[in-house]
Amino acid sequence: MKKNLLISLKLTLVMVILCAVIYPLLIAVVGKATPGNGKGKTISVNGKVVGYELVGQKFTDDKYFQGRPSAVDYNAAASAGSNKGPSNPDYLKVVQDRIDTFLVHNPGIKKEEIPAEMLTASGSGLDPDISPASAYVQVKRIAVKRNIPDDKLRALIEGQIQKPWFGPAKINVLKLNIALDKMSG
Amino acid sequence: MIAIKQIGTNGGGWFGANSAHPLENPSYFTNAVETISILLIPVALVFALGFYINKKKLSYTIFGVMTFLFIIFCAVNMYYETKGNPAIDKLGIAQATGSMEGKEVRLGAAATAFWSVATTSTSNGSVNGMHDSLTPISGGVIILDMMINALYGGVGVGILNYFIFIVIAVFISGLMVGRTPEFMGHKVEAREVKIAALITLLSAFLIKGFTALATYMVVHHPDINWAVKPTAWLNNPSYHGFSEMLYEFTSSNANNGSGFEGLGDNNVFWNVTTGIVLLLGRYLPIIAPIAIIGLLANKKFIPESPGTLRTDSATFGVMTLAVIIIVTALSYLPALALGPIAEYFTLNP
Repeated sequence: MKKNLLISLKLTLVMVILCAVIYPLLIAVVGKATPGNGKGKTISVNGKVVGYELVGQKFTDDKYFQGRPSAVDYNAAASAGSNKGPSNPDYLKVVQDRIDTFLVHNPGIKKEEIPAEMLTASGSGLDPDISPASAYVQVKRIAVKRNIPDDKLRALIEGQIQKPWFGPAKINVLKLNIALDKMSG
Repeated sequence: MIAIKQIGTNGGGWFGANSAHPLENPSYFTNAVETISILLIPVALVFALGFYINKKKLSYTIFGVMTFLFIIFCAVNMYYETKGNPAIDKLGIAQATGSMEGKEVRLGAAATAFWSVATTSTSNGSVNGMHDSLTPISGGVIILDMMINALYGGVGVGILNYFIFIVIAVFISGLMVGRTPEFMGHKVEAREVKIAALITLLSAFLIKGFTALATYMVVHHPDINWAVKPTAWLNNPSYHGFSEMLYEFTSSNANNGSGFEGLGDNNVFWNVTTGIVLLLGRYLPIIAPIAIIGLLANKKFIPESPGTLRTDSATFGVMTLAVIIIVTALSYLPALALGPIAEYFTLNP
């Protein structure tokens, strides 16, 4: 009995040291070594922090590239999807509204050209990325609003595409818009 | 945090959106690492079993059956998720990247479909996309996956659930060849099979009974005087609403923890009912296999002879597979027909 208790006490002590001291310290050290010193990668423009690279922001101005719809309106304190089922009539009406709004803001674009992710809310509501197709589809609008030729915008997008080893190609909306602002001066 | 959540098949995330949140799962690479960690220990335990009881071939057979079903489920989900939502097709939108509602661009439809199967196979319950917004068949597949709850399964308990299927398969194949069924040199007789059969019926009873109760409340007492009225539970109408409730009870019975999160389930009714399902669905299926093993251990050991039905052969693997499919299909097909399958046919008339 006494021997068993002693063994379990010893084991508890070892596990506490291992799991509650050594492991968190190790993780903290790894965190410090990552970009942003474990506080998240921020993006600065002219020395001012404008956002986190990984947390999406809302762009409503037609002069900027816009991100995906969000069920929580890009409220970083919330983070959630819409949880709407694929056959829900209310949800399909929302998608139809998004199509109409998109067409109004992007004259000259046909309905078939809009990528589906620009009409559907992301899982987290904070998706920072769009696919290259979603960026190209907005070129016409921005070219008119900013008086920049289409080709230059396309080249800009081309430069912003991130292609990981595996997985889909993506573009960070915030970075793209910062580059856009820089280009048009 | 993520290490515990994924490797320990716990599944509770730091953020509300779980691994769909960009800070919890920032890139395709981290997604791959997290998906592997979901499967790592459950798969390893299948091999550990063979190692410790010195029957490696048995664990290869078990692994083969589990993987066969797992790959089928993955293939089905990936197909339907990359194909996109037919209702959005009808609005005239091309879905080159698949059904993107509730999914993230950096992960894509295929990776989310794979994760959904991995997390429901192993009673993990973390998500990297919103399951409520999956297309009907994929939603149905992951519900079915949790109903079987033995494809790898949670850490340790997957084997327990699979063991029940083995006992039934041993019994049925024993009857087919006309010999007394044996498993590892011990006779499997009426009493053991009764326990196994009761346990397979228990999950079906819990899931379907409580889903029926919840459905009854929604239909007949939608405005009952509770803090959260049953009318406010469902985030989606019709068949999908039924799927939400079915998923919730299946998930708690399988100790999974994921949900069709549109369901307003943080109130007295859901907390109490899922709590009951969770307790019964968790502990009885642990007690039963141990009881069977206890009974078997007390019997006389019969050495293997050429006439023994070998449980580590491919034939027996196919037999177990058939038992899994038949038992789950018989128990759950009617419930699935009311939810995901009905929704599928409304979208694809």
